[in-house]
Amino acid sequence: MHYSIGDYIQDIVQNALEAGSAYTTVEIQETAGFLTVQVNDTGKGMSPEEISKALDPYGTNGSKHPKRKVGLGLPFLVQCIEAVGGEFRIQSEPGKGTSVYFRLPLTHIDAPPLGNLAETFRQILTYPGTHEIRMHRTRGKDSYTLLRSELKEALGDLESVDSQALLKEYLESQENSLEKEGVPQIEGEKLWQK
Amino acid sequence: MAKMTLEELKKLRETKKRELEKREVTGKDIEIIVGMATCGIAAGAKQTLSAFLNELEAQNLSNVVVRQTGCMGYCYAEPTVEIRMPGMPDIIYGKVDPETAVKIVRKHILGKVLINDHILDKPAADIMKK
Repeated sequence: MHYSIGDYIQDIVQNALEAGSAYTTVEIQETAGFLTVQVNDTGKGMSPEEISKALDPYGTNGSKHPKRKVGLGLPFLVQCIEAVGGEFRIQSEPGKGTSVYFRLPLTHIDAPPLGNLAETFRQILTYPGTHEIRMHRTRGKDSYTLLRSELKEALGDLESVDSQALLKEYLESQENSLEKEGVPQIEGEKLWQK
Repeated sequence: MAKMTLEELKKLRETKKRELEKREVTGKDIEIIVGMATCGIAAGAKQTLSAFLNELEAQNLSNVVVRQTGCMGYCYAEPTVEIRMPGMPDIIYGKVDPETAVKIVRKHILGKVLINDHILDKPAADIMKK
């Protein structure tokens, strides 16, 4: 399993990019103890048989690693969502693209931590290629939007150490501008006492 | 820190660019490629990538490009990192945690010394050239 929710989001977006998505949208909504994530891509899409293979940890289409018998990206996410009583949906159409949706209660004892989202976004946005990514992050009433092409234009490139350092500063300022009270922060210790 | 606008980001880049012009930089000739598939992420590649960027910034190294790639096929040794630079053989390091990432920047990139414990693969083409 992955460590943080950011890790799951990054894994799903990476799937989209590896499926050749030219335009990917990532919607992350945090409200009253719930996190909702939706990733839509315009990649090659999957047939119903391919979807069930992608959800099976012992299933793989074998294109990336011909001898391998596992594919764990989506199964990790499904396992996590099932453990916390959340919701998971996947829709896909060959030639059109794929949508992955999940929602989980952040206060569940088994919910993974969000992780450093600014860092997760930086890594998602700097994945090499000419694709476009639109990210929209909401926490309570506050939100911000990121467009990969705009950031690339502002920074000149997304590969050099200097650009990635400035991007981090930019993303942290966006993340820090969000309201702090939007989601109850429950510490493990307090839950134990209940 | 106030919420930065794209305009402010552009200005910040211009300032940094001017600073850079004062330094002697000979193109982006060092490449660091971090494997970021499911296996990499599960093994902590995100922390490794952050550690590289932080250390490179701390060491003021601007002639470096840091890229992500998918699975290199060495899931058992994740996080895996490929380093390409002049004067050193192309090399893939395995089990690169954040501490090892710092070591790679200081010893491999700056000191031009291999980190033997983490060498995973050395492409045969390099050996053939010599």
